[in-house]
Amino acid sequence: MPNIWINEWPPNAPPNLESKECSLIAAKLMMNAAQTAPVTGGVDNVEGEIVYGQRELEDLARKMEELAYSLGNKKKEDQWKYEAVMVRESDVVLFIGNYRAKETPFDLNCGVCGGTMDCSYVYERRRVAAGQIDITDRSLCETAIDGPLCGVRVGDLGYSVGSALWMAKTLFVDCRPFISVGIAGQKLGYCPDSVIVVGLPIATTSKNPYVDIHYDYHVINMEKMIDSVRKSYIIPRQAGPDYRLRRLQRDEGEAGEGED
Amino acid sequence: MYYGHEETKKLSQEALLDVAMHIVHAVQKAPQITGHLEIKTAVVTGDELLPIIELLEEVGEDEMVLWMDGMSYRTAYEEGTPPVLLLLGADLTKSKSNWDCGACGFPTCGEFNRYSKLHHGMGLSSFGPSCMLNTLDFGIASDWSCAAASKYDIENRIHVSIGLCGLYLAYIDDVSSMIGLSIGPVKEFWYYNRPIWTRKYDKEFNRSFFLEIMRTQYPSMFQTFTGNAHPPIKDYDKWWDKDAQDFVKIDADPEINAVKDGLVGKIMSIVPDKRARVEEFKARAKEEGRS
Repeated sequence: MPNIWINEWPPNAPPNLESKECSLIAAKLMMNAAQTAPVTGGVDNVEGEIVYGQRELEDLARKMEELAYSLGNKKKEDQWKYEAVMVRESDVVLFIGNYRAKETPFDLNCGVCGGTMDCSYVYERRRVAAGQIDITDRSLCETAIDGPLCGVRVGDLGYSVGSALWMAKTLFVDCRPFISVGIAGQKLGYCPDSVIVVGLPIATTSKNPYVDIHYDYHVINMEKMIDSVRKSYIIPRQAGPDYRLRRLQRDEGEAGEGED
Repeated sequence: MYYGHEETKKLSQEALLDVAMHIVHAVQKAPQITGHLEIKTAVVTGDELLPIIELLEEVGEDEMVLWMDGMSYRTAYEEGTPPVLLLLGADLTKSKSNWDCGACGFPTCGEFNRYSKLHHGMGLSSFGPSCMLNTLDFGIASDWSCAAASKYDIENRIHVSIGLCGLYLAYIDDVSSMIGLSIGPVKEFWYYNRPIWTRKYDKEFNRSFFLEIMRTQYPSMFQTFTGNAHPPIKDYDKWWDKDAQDFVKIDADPEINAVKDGLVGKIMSIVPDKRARVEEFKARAKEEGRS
């Protein structure tokens, strides 16, 4: 069996891809944990999708940046953009969605959605035929998430996300839950049956990419820093000598090679 | 120092309280999407569980899940091995996150908050309306309480039923939703494969209770050939010998309607007295520096 060389740096080089593949395994185990989470009535209501690969994560990050502007929510514009950077710094993203929250409420009369002793808050705001919610008219939704939703189902999604996060913690991979990532993933077609999706970016790096984020992170971050060196250093370098013709004097009294 | 079997059992029962406090660590460490939601906790032990047990039993006369939980709690209490109850609560009715995600049904958080303030009300187990991102965060924290309990290999179960009793009885103030995590008793199974429930089962109970639920809720499973709107439904044995066949018929049922309509009134009539006792517990806890 060949050696497996693992190194975080440089990103996406073969030694880094080895550890990213381990993050992929972690994502799969996290989804298993999500599926065993306690849910109301023991009824299955979540689906998952794993997105892996430099190109795929870049597409996701760009969709988040697009939504930062197209949704027109000034208060969250920066957060969308900062979290897009976090996606770029991730190894893999796990999406977990709830496919019952819109179409098949729990019908418990619990009051979470609307504070009433029945489920009218949801049913009155949906097309309904034969006692069933008709989801065929998708043009009705003008917001990022097509509400109103059944609060019991959304709570259940929280349980599944919680178990996935607990598994991540147990495996010592860094992970946080993001609604921004979930919305963007859903717009890209991930978790196609779900009305609400949470994105769980996962990373195996020395520094957790999801904490200690400063302002203007979308323009000042590790990738941009490195690129700033790449874009600048080349220029002063051209003021150097021909190293073959003149050796630099290192010690006092020493003649530099090639000197007259 | 040596502890024998009985003493070990007793001490491990007492240690459930320590475990509950460690679970609180996990609850407060649970990741959040909003980063704004305050999760409130309370731990209830011993006699101070009684108002909840009584409410479970009384409402359980009409609601099966509460009946089963009430029975499990009562038996554990009487056997001297009551669970330690961790209650988690949060006010989900105010959105502070500004995501304007629309999951609540409103285009902006501001519009939701205005509606929520004007239409604050209660359902069977929760106040509402609720911000769905808060609801997600509450779910994550609740899940972490279960996950932490499982790491201690302690029998546990998260219950909506016990949460709603805690909410009705105001064990935690100023929350809109509550959920209850039972920690212990120290046994392999108490809330799954329920031993107390299993004791009730014999052929007659299975037939009159469980199979009757199946026939009522899933008649198609028992249906014979039908050519009209009233399919014949099989009994459990020799249905062909019965004088009169059973049929499916959807119709108003005044008796069950009366029970359902009276449920909220019944809860409201039995809650005040128990709630006063809980207020006494809370006052005592305050005096003794536990609150």
